[in-house]
Amino acid sequence: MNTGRTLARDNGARINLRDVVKTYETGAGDVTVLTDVSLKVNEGELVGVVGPSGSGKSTLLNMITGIDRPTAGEVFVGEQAVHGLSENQLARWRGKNVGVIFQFFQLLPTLTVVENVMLPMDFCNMYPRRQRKQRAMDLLDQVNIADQADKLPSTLSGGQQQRAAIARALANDPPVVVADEPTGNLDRATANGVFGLFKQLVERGKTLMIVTHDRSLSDQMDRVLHLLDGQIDRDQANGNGSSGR
Amino acid sequence: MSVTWRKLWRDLARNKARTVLAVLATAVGIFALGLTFGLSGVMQESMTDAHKAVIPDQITLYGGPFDQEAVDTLLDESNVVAVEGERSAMIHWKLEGQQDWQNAYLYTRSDYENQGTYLVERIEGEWPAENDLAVERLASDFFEIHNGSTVIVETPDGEQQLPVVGVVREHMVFPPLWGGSAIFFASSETANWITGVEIEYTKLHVRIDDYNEETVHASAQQMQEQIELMGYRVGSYGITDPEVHWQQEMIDGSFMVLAILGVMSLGLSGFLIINTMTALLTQQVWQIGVMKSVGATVGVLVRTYLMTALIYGLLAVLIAVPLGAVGANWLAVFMLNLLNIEHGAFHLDPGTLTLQILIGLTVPILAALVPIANGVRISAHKAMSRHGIGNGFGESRFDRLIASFRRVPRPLALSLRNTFRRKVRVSLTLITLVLSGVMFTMILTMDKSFGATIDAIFDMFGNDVSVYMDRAYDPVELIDIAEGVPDVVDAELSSYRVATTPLANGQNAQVSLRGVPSDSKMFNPRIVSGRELPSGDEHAVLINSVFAEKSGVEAGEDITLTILGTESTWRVIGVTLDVDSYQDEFFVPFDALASEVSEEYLTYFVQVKIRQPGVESEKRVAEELNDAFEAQGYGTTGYWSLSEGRQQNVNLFGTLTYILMSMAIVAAVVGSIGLMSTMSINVVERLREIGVMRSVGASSLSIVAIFVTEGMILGLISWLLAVPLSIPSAKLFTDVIGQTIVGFGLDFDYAVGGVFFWLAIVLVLSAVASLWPALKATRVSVRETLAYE
Repeated sequence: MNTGRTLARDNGARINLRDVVKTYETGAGDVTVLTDVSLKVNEGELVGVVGPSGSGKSTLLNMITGIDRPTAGEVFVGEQAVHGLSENQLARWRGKNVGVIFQFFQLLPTLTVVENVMLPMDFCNMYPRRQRKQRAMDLLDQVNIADQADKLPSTLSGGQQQRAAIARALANDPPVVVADEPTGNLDRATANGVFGLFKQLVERGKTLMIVTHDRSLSDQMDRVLHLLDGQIDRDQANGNGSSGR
Repeated sequence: MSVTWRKLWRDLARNKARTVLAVLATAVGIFALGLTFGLSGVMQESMTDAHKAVIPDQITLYGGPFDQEAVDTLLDESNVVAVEGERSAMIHWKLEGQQDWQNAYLYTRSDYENQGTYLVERIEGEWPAENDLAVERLASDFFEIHNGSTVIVETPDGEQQLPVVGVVREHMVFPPLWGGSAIFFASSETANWITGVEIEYTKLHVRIDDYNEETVHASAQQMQEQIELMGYRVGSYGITDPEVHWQQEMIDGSFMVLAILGVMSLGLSGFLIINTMTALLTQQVWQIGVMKSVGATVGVLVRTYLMTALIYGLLAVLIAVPLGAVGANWLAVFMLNLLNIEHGAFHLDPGTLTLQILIGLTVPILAALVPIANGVRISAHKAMSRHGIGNGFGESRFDRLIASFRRVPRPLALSLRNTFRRKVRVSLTLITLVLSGVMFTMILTMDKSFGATIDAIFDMFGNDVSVYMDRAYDPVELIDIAEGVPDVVDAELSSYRVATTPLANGQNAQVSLRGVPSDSKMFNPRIVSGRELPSGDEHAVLINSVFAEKSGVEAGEDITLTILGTESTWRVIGVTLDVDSYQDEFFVPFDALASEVSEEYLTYFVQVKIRQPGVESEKRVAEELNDAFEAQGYGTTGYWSLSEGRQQNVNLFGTLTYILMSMAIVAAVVGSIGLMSTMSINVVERLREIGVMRSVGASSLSIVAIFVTEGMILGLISWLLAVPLSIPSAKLFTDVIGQTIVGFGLDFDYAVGGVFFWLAIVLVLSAVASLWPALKATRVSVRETLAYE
């Protein structure tokens, strides 16, 4: 683990995966979803992950967020060896360091929009209590839905809900944000709006990894990872982007 | 086996926790029914059998002394089949090595081998003969006096050791467990020798061949008059229905209460089943969609899920029937033993069994109908397209009201708002918990009210010890002797005579007339209506509330009393709450009774207040009074102690409370199973939300806290609802219990402490019941919760 930590720091990578394998036990035998994946993502990169169904895109993101654990290999985010944390430590660490955005928004229906954004601050005890509401309002303002703050999620449109989910992902100002098909459930215009927000985040130095099926979006990323059968088939740099592999 | 069946079995086996909860929920109700109805069935049969086995007398004449001539005279009556003379005397006894003397009744029959009626049954050893004793079986058990033991008795010649040669059973015994004295049996010669007094009988048990509720009193009064004309004194008579055990009425009252609680528990079970079936269908919505898409009709789906409910019922019956029967028999052994009835072999009441099976199989199906109908109506498309976190909040005005509480931390807001997300489920859980709380409070209030009533009744006595004289003596001398006993601070006299009065239906009721001195400081009755007794010899009478209700007589009316065959008219000036367990006491001015009955037909009792009341000191003073009277040549027949009487009553009702408390525990268990089931469903339903909370930083502790708080909020709300409901329910319950068991409404004393005790219980139960589902929630990995379908 110490070797990994040193390695991650030495290379200055925000995300560093070394020989990550993920195998699931199923009734029909073991199924390997990721095979020896190694990957480095630098600070401020906007990385797209594409590939056919079952190629391991979501599993790759889950390795980075700690939502799932590797069967073998090491995962570092910043200096943290993610693979070495317990479920409980992971929850706290994730709340502070990784913002997660889901395809179906996953806002808690009994909390208002602003309360949903404040929830990670409460869980991780970040920011003074009195400042949390103001911070949440600022974040909602950044995603242009401050006027919806006191509404319950069920009254919002899909695009508004995803904006709220982005604000929630940014609640504790994490350096890394991952999103699994964030625009998959949105119409084209709304999807473009949401993607615009992601670009702003990168401009502010955040590292973003986004799983998408949408070619028009992946074309706008700094770098695109093409996954096939659990391996990185192609690591493609767009424009001024650079390969970390 | 069809695929549908296979799916059904696998669902049951795969969701073991849910299957266990559903079966337990159903089993609790069936068990409660088995316990209450089974107990009633087992006891009813055993009590009736035991009663008939003693060939009961229908008329008992008390007083005497009687002899064989009195027996023969009664036997000459055309309707008399058998007469059994019996003597009862108070003796002092102890076992070898014991210091203190104890009181016991010594019963005597002239011929144990050939008893005609009201049989004493030999259980072990021999009948008592010369200079030995037999012991009554309850005393044998309680005081550990066995066949072959040696008992030391006090005789006029000093202490004597007597062997116990047998164990016998007497039908009417006040259980030693509740404070009753030991009972020994002896031959007439042995009894004469122990007591130093030669008496044949003090009771005559008369069996007639034309028992009829309407004419039996007339027969008894005729016998009483006939015997009294021969010079015997008859204090009173008792009537026994040959078909009904003497404690049947009290037991029936208790059973009615138990049955109410049993049915309430079944109702709770019903709610739990609805809840569980709703949960099952909630979890299977996606599967229902898939089944529909491959051709399952609503009918097939309904049949499949109804079959699941039926299997829950079957499993519950298999568990609850044997447990209920064992519980009923176990309780029956305990209660029958108190009634001095040996419970025979294990008995399964066929009526109860049928009821349990019938209800066990139908209630789950009926309870499951609505959730199943709702669950299978969903369209295949909708069922399969449930992605993301479900909504179900924010649509109603109530939700928006709950959501408007903004000034609480988000985790608490989550608990608070989550509580009200599934309104039907929450309502069902609340109903279960509220009913449990109401039942619990009802039972504790009943116990407290019994205590308050006993206290109120015993406060009315105004004296600590009463010594019964064998007849009337010079009042001044009796008082002088009593006041000469150390520790006696005050003494008073009452007179007593039995009388009859006609009821509206033409029957005569026997009443006990108590003559109260006009300057009495101790007589302090609770007047229900009317006023207190006047001084002088006015024909005024205070009747008791039970008689007033039965006869319809009110204060201000006149009634006819027949005393020693002579009728006289008395003005009812008031109605009192009766203090006597027979509910037949009337109070009249001492002088008025004296003017109506010549002294030789009156009995006196001396009542005293003592310096330091208490069971032991009262017993000691009673014995000192007894000795003091006898030393002066005044005969006594026994004594009564306030503390002992109070204790006996407390014990008597305590037993009932224990049995009812077991039902309260059932209620609490049902409530927590309900809550646990609801919280489990909530966890399952919100697995994805748990995953999301995890992914935004919630620790295990935060998740547990959110669910446990939600459970405790439910517990608290149920308590807030139960408190106002419990007041009228407890009032009704204590009234019904009072009327059925003691014949009058109890003094309502709401168990405030009990309500807060329930709050503590319900909060702890809520926390514990939601802890298990909450912990389960933290064990699921984030990936699984987000992938959960």
